[in-house]
Amino acid sequence: MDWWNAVNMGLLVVIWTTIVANLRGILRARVFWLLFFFVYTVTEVAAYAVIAVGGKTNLFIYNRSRPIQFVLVAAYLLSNMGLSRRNWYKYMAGAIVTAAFLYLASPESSYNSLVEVIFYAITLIICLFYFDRIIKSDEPIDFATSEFWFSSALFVYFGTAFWITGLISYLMERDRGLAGKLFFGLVISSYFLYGITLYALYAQSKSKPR
Amino acid sequence: MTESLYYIAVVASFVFFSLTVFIIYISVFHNKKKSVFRQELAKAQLEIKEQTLRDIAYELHDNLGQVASLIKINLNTLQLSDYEKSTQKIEDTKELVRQLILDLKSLSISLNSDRVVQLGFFKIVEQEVERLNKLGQLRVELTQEGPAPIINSNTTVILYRMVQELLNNILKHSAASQVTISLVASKNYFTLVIFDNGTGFDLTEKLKSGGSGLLNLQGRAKLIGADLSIKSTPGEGTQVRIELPFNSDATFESY
Repeated sequence: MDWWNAVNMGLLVVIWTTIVANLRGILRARVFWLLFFFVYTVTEVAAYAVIAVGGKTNLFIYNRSRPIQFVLVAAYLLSNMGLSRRNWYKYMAGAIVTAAFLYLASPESSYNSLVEVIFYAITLIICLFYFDRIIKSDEPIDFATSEFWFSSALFVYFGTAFWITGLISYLMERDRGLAGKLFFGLVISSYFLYGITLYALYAQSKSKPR
Repeated sequence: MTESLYYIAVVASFVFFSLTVFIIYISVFHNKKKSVFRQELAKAQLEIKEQTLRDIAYELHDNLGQVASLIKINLNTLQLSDYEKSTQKIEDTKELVRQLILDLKSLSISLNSDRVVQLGFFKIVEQEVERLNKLGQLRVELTQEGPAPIINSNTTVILYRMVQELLNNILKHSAASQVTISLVASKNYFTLVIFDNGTGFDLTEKLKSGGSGLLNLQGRAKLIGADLSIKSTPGEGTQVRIELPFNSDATFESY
């Protein structure tokens, strides 16, 4: 097992252990986030397993998982925006249509950077609206119990991926060495996702009433 | 070309990461500022509550209590055998009761923060001036210039309580006979000046000896983003000036 995969799996185990320890609080406040992280973990584990058993590519797993992740991330972030129920359903309908488009547009087993970039861009825009809402609001938020750190983790992860993904497929065809280097950008962004998520879970567990 | 694109992606990622850190910093910074503001607001509200209770005690003792005592004296000294004198005393007592009811009403209005917000700053100050003039201890003149600004509810209440505290201080400590309140609203500022012809005081000395009332007023002014300045000379009265800046899109109410 490569070192980045080992770190990846190790951090996922730590995060899931923390999630299980704080399951009640997470289920109450952020079901969509939990579902997203579940799909994300299954994708990572399945992608590793396919390569481990001698598969040549695991792209089909990412390509099929991405629309589901997109819908769940959109549902989670939109839930934090203080939208009316009607508007939430309206935006979610838009997100599901976009996800369907992403699904149909994704080739089975190859890179489609445009589809990914659309997915990341929409996620980033929703995150930016969330931050804008926090900054403009008169009411202070409690960082420990709010969705701030979870949203920040998603923002860092999808934001870094936004810049790198588009180029990776281009480089794969021209310079595999550089593509490999760039791939580490994605690895590091996933570590940021895990790091900030762990901090968010830790802050939440410290603040829960005893 | 390929290598340049690679470096562009690396630089773009770093720029994005810095932007993320900046957004998180701004969010945390603003949130901290809002929390501090909430805490200070709560502290000021508590101080205002205590001040209000002191004012009620003062008002009950020095004004309403005095009128009630007069009513009691009138009724105790009533001689029913002397019809003419009794009729006069009953008329006087009826007038005192009417006065007492009016004073209670105006006191209750001046203490009710919802009422303060509902009436707006200019109108509530007008009512306070009327109330003080009725007490007859000193003469209060109110001048207004410019349209009355619509100030947000927290600011209105804090500003009005500051005015009440300043007027109470004048009543209790200054021995003034004349007070002038000037309210001036321009496009960018709302200026409130309270001048009294009382004994005045040495501001430096007052602050050295504690002067918690003045420091509280400074704190409240800071809380609502206003600037408070005090000029006082022993024997020459005191002038307090509060300047509250507006956003350029502030709206105005008509008198």
